[in-house]
Amino acid sequence: MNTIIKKGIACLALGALITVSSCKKFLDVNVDPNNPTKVSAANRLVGAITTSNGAALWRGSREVAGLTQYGVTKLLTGTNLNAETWRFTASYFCWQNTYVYTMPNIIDLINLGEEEGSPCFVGAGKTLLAMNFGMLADQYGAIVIDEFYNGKTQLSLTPKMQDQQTAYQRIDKLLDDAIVAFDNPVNKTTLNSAAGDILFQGDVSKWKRFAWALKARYLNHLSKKSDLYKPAKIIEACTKAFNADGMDAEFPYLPNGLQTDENPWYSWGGFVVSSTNPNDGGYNPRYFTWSQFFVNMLTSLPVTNTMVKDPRISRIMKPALSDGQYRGLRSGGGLVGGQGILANGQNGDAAKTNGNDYGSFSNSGFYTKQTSPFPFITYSEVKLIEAEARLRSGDINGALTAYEEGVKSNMRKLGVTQAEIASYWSAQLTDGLAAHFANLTQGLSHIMRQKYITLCLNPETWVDMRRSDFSQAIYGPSLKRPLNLNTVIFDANNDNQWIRGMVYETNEQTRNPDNVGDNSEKYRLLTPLWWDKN
Amino acid sequence: MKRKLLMLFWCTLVLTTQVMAQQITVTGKVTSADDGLPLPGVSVKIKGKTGGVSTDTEGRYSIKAESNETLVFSFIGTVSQEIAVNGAKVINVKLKQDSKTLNEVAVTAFGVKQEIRSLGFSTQNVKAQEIVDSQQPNIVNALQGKVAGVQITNSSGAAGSSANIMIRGGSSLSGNNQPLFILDGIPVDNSTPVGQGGFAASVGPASNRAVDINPEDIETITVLKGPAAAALYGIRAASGAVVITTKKGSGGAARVTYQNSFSFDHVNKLPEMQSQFKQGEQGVYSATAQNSWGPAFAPGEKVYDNLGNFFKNAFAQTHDVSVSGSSDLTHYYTSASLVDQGSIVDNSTFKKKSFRINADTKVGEKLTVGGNANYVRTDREYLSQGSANGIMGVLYWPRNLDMKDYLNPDGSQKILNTTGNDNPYWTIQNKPFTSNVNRIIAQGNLDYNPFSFLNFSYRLGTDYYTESFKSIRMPGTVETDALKGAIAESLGTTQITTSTAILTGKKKIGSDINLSLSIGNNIEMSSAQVVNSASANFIDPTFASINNTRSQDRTTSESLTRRRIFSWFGDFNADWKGIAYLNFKGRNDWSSTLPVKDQSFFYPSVSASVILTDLLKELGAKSDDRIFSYGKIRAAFSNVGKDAAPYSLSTALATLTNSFTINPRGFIINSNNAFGNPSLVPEFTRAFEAGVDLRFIKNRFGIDITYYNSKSDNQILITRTPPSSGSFLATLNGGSIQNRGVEIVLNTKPITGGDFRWSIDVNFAHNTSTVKELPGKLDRIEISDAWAAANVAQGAAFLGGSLFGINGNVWKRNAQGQLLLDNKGYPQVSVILNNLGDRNPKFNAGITNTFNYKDFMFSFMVDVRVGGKVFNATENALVRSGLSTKTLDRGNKVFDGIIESTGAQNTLSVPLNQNYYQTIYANQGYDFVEDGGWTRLRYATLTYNMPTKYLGRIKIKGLSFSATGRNLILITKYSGIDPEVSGSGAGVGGSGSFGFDNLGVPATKGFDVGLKLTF
Repeated sequence: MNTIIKKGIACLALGALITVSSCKKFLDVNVDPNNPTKVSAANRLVGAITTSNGAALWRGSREVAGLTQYGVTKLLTGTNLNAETWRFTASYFCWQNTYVYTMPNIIDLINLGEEEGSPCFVGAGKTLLAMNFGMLADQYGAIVIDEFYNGKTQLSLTPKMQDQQTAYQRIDKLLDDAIVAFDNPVNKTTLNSAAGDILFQGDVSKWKRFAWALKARYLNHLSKKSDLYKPAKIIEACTKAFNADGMDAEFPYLPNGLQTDENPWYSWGGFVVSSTNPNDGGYNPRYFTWSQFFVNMLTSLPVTNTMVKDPRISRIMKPALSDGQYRGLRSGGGLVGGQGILANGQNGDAAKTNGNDYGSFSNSGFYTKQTSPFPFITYSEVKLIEAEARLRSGDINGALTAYEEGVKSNMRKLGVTQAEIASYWSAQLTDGLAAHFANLTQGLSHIMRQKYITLCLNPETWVDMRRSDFSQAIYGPSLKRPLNLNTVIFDANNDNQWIRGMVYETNEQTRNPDNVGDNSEKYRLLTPLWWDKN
Repeated sequence: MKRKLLMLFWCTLVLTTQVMAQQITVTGKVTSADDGLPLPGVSVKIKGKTGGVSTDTEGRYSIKAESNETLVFSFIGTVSQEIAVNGAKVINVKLKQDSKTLNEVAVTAFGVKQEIRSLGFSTQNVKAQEIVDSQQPNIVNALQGKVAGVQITNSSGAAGSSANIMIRGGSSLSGNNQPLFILDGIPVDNSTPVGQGGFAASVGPASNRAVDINPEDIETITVLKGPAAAALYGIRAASGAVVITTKKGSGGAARVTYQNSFSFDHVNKLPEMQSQFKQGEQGVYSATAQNSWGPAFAPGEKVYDNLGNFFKNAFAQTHDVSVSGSSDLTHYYTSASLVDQGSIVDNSTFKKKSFRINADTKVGEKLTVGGNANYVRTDREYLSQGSANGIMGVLYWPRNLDMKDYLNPDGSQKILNTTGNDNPYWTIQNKPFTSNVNRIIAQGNLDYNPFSFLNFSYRLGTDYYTESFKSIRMPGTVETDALKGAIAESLGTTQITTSTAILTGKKKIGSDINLSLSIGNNIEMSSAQVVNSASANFIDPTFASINNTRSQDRTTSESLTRRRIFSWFGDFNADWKGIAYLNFKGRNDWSSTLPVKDQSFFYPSVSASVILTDLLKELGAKSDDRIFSYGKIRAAFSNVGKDAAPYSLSTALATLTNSFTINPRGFIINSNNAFGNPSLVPEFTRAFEAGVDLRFIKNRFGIDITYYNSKSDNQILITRTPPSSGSFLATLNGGSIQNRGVEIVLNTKPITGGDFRWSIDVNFAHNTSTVKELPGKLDRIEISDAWAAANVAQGAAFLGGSLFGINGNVWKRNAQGQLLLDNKGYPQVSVILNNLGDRNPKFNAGITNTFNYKDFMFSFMVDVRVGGKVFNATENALVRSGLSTKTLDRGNKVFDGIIESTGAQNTLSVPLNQNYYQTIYANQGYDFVEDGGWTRLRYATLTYNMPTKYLGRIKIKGLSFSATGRNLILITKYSGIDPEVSGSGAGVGGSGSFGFDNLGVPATKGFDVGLKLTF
C-alpha cells in the first residue's frame, strides 16, 4: 500500500511540474481565430474608402441636404422635418460616425503603409483623412485632431480640441504629405493589389490629383480671410488637380448586393417605404421630393432669373405624375404647404398639395438611384473653384473659361447631349454671362448656383452658402429660410439670420465636457465658424 | 433545524450474535423530535455488524435484519438511539437534538463539506423541500426569499424566461454581476445570451441556462454570499456562488419515486387603459389609424377589452421518476423528468426532458469513486416583445376594434395601415423564436484516504451544450426590414471543463488543537462558439427556411471565445477545542485573458469564528443551554481577483455590415466592440464581513446578523469613451464600486413538539451599491442593452450614486428648476439625460411560515420588497398609442414655466393633443418612473402525507399530495404589470435591466396540484 501512495504522490508532483511548464502554452488561447487584429494595408484600403463614404459623408450629407434645401419632407410631424427646419441638437450624429466608424480605419491604413514600406497607402490614407477632417471642421469648427486615435498608444479619454484654423493647417499638411507619399516610387505593394482601390483602381496619379483637388477646396474656403486667401495657390492646386472627365473621386455603389451596398438615397437611408402611392400615410420617406429652390436653380439663369430649362433637370429629377411639370416644395412647408417660392421670388401654387404634383426624391435620377455614385470631389467642382479664384483675383476671362468647363463637364457627366449643352450655353451667353462676370457678385452668383447643381446633395454646398452669407444676390430671390423654423434658437423676425454650425454630439458633450465647452444650440447653431468671419 | 447527509461515520465493533432467526425487512421513517421534520442521512445499522444504510431525503430507510437484532440510529448533532427489532416490520424513530452542538454543514469549495459553526463567513442552505415547495421550474426563481442578500428578478411571465440573481448587490460596472453556479463541485453555465439573431435584448430575451437543472434532482443548495466564502472558486467569487448538490441515493433497498404537478396560470396584473377616446389621428376618427387619438366613444359604443382578452390560462405539467438506493458500499440515484409548460399566450412554451444518474462506490477501504451524468433537452418557443410589433402591440390596438379579428379572407394579416403594427395575434402565429438546447453535464470523482490524516480527492467534469436558435418573421409583417420575410439562426456550442485535485492533511496537536491544510490545483477551460446566419426575402412566401432565400440576401458569421485558467490554492484551518476557528485561504490564478506579464495574480483571505456559548462553558461561566443556547461571532476579510473577458487586449477587425458602416467590403475596426487594451491588469474586490449567530430557548429562537462592506477597485471596465477618442467603447482599468449591507436571518419555532408545530423563517437584506470612481470625465456608465421606451431611458450607474440607476430624458429646466418652454408654450425635452431613480430596493424580506399538523404541512412565504424604482416603458407605449390614462386630459393647458427664447413667464395656453403626448410628453422619462415595491404571497403550499399505517397494506412506502398557489396576492403601488420585471432579461451586465417594464409578457399567478408516490 505504501508504494502505491509513494507512486501516487510522485505522479502528482510530476503532473504538477508538467502542468506548470506547459502552463504558458496552455494559456495561449487569447487570440480570436475569427477576427484578425491586423491585416495588410492593401486589405484595409477598401474599408477606409467605404466608411469615408458610408459612415462619414453620408451622415454628413443626410441632414445637411435638408438644411441646404435640396430635399423636402412630406409631413409636418415626426423627426424627418427637423433637419430642414434647423432643429439640430446634440443628437446630430455625423461626429461619432466620422470619428468612430471611419477615421480609425484610415489611421490604421497610414500606419500600415508606413510599416510595410508602401507610401502609396500613406498617401491614400492622408488624403481620405484630410477629407474627413475637412468635413468635420466645416460643420463644427474646432475638432479633435492631435489627440485622436493614433493606432499606437491608448485612447485618450478626454481628447483636446484644435481650433478650426489649426485644423485647416493640419488638413493642408496632411495633403502635402499625401502628395509627397504619392510621389515616392518605391512601394512594397501597390494600391490596388487586393482590388481595394475602388476609387481609382490603383492609379496613383489620380489619387494625387484627388489630394490636390482637396487642397484647392480647403484653400478656397478661406475667401473671407483676406490675409490668408491666396487665389494663386488655389489656381495652382486646381491645375494639379483633376484635369479631365472621368477622374472624379466618387463612391461606386453596387447592384444586386446587400441592401447596404446600395445608394442610401435610394433605399436604406430612410427611403424604403411600404407604399407606392405618394398620398398614402405609409409613404413618408426622409425626403419626399426635391425643393422648389433646386428646381429654380435648374430652370432659371442667375442674375436675371430668366427662365431657361437646364437639361440636367431631367437627369436629376422626375416630373410630377399629374401634369409632367417639374415642381418642388418649400423647405419646412411639407406637402400641405404646396409649391415653394418661384425663381422670381413670388409664391408658387399653394394648391398643389397632392402627392402626385411632385416627382419623387428617391430613385428619381442621377443622384438617387440604386447604384448612383456619391461624388467626394469632382473635376467640375475643381473647375468652378478655379473660376471663383480667378474671378476674385480679377482674371475674368480665365474665370469664364474655367466656369464653362466646370458647368459643361458636369453636364457631360450627367449624360446631357452635346446639342443640349450647346443650346443651354448659348442661352447663358445670350442672357449676358460675360457681362455678369465683370461684376464680382454677379459672377459669383453664376459660380455658386452652378456649384449648387454640381455639388448635388454634398455638404460642401453649405460651406458655399455660408461663404456667400445665404445671399439672395447670389442664390436668387427664392432662397428663403424654411417655414416652421426652429424659432427657439432662430429669431423669427430676422430673415438674415441663418444656420452657421452644428451642435457637438451628446456623447462628446457628456464624456468630454471640458473640451467641448459651450454646446448650447443657441451658441453652436448661430456662431459663424472661423473661416465664416472676416 | 437544518441537517445534512453525513458521509463518514464511525461505529464501535460489538460482538456478533449467531442466532438462527427469520430475516425480515424493516422499514420506517426517522424524524426530528424537535420539529418533526424528516431527517435525511441518518445512519441505520445493525448493532454489532458493519455496513448499514442511511435515510433518504424524506427520512425513510429500509434494512434487512434478524428479528432479534437491534437497530442503531445515529446522526450528527443528535442523541443516538438503539431499538430492538423484535419482529417489527415498521420502526419509526424520533431523534432528539444534542443541544451541545449545532452541526449543520455547508458545501464550500469544490464539494468540501464544512460545519457551518466553523465558518467565519455567512452562508445559507436551501433544502430540497423548500425548493420543491416553491414550484418553480427555473431553479433560480426557487431561491426567491429563501436567502438573505440574494435578490432575484424574474424577467417576464413567458415560460422559460430568464431570472436575474445577484448576491449582495453588484461588483461590476459593465460585466456579469451574477454568481457562479457550481453543480456537484464543477462550475456550470448560467449565462443568458443578450440579443440573439441580431435582435435587441429587449425583443427576444433568452433563458438563463440554469433553467436546465431539474429542481427535483437537488438535495441542497448552499449560497456562498461573499468573496470570503467563495474565494477558493476564484475569479468570479466576487459575485458569490450558488453551490448545488444533487441527490446521492440512500435508504437501503431501491425505492422508486414518482411525482407530478399540474399548474394553471393566469396573468396577475395588467395596466389600466383609457376607454374614452377611440381610433383616430389629431382628434378625428380614422379607420386606418393605429392609435387612439380620435374622438370620444359614442354613448353605448362597444369598447373592446383587447388587453384582457389577449391572455389565456396557461397549463403546465411536470412528471418526475427517480430510483435511488444504497448499500454499505454504493449509493445510486437516477431520475428522468419531463416539464411541459405553456404560457398565457399561445406558441410560448417551455419543454424540458432531463435524465440523471449519480453513483458512487467504495473500492476497498480507502478509495471511493463516483460520478454523475445529466442529459437535458430543453425546447423553448417564445415571441417577439419589447416593441409595438411584438406581442404587447396589444397596447396600441384601438379599443373600438376587436383585435381578435385579424385575418383577411385570403389568410393575410388585417393591418390598420402599412406603417402601423403587426396584430399581436398574427405575431403569435407568424413571428416565432425557437431555442433548442442539448446539454450534458458529467463528471467523475475519486476520494482516497490512504491514512486517517491524509485525503486526496480529484474531480474532472464538463458542462457541454449546444443551442440552436431560430427567429422567423413571415412575409406579411409590417416590419420594414422583413416585408418579404426574414430568418435569423444561430448555432452555439458552449463548454466548461474543470479539473480539481485537492490534497488534505490533518494533524492534532495535543488534545485541543486541530489543524488541517489543503493544497489544490484547479484547471478550467471554457469555450463558446456561435455560428450566425441570417437572410431575408423568402422566394416562396409560405415557407420559412434560410434555403428559401437568394444567396445574395444571406449573411453568416462565426465567433469563438476561449478562456483558460490555471490555479493553485491553499486552505488552512485551525481550531481550538471546536470553540475557536481560524481559516486562511489563498489562491493564485494564471488567466489566459490577461497580458502575459500580468497573467498571474494571488489573493488571500482570512476568517475566524468563536462559539461563544462553548467558550463560556469552557470558562465555567455557563452551564446549560435553556436560555442562551448558542452564540457565535465571526469575521472575514478577503480579497479576490478577476480577469478580463477573452480578447480584451486587442481591437478586432471585422467585416460586419450595418447602416452605419454600410457594407465595408473588407476588414474594418469592429466599432461595436470595445477597443482593446494591451495593458490590462487584474481587478480586485476587497471585502469585509462580520456577523453574529445567536440562538435562544433551546434553539427555538435564532437570529443571525451579518454586516458586510466590499469594494471593487480598478475594475476591468468596458466604458463609453468620447467619440473623438476613436471609439464608443474601450476596455480599461478604472472605476470602483462599494457595496454595503446588512443581512438578518431569523428562525423561530413558536410551537414545537406534539402534533402541531409552527416555524417562522425570515430573511431580510439591505444593500447599497455605490459608484465611487469612474475613469476620465465620465459621470455615468450607460448600459445600452437596457434601452427602453424609444430610447427615453436606460439602465446606468451614476458616479456618487447607485450602480442601478435609470438614465433618462428629462424636461429642460433652468437653474431654478423652472420649465423652459418653447415659443408656443410647450415644455421641451433636454438632450442631456439625467438620473431618474434608483432601481435598487431599500430592502428585501422573505418570510416563510411552516405549520405541521399530524400528516399535514402548510407553508407560505410572504415576499416584501421596499423601494426600488421601476421604469414603466409599457405605460410610455400606452401614452404613444393614446390609450394611457395619462392622455385623458386632452384639453388646453398653460404650462408653468419660462419661455426660453424671451425669458418671460409663460401665459400661452396650448392644446394637450396627440402631438404633445407623442412627441413631447412621451419623450421625457420622469413621469414613467414609479415605486416598484411590493408585498406578495410568493407561494402557499399544503401537503398531505398519507400515514405509513395505511400505506403498508398497499405496499407503498409513501404517498403525498400537495397543492400550491403562487403569487396569489400582490400588493403594490406600481400601476403597470407585476413590478418584478427585467425588460431585456438576465443577460444584461453591469447595471442590468431589472426594473425596466418594457412590453414583456406580464407575470402570472397560478396554482399547482401534484402527488408524490414512493414504492
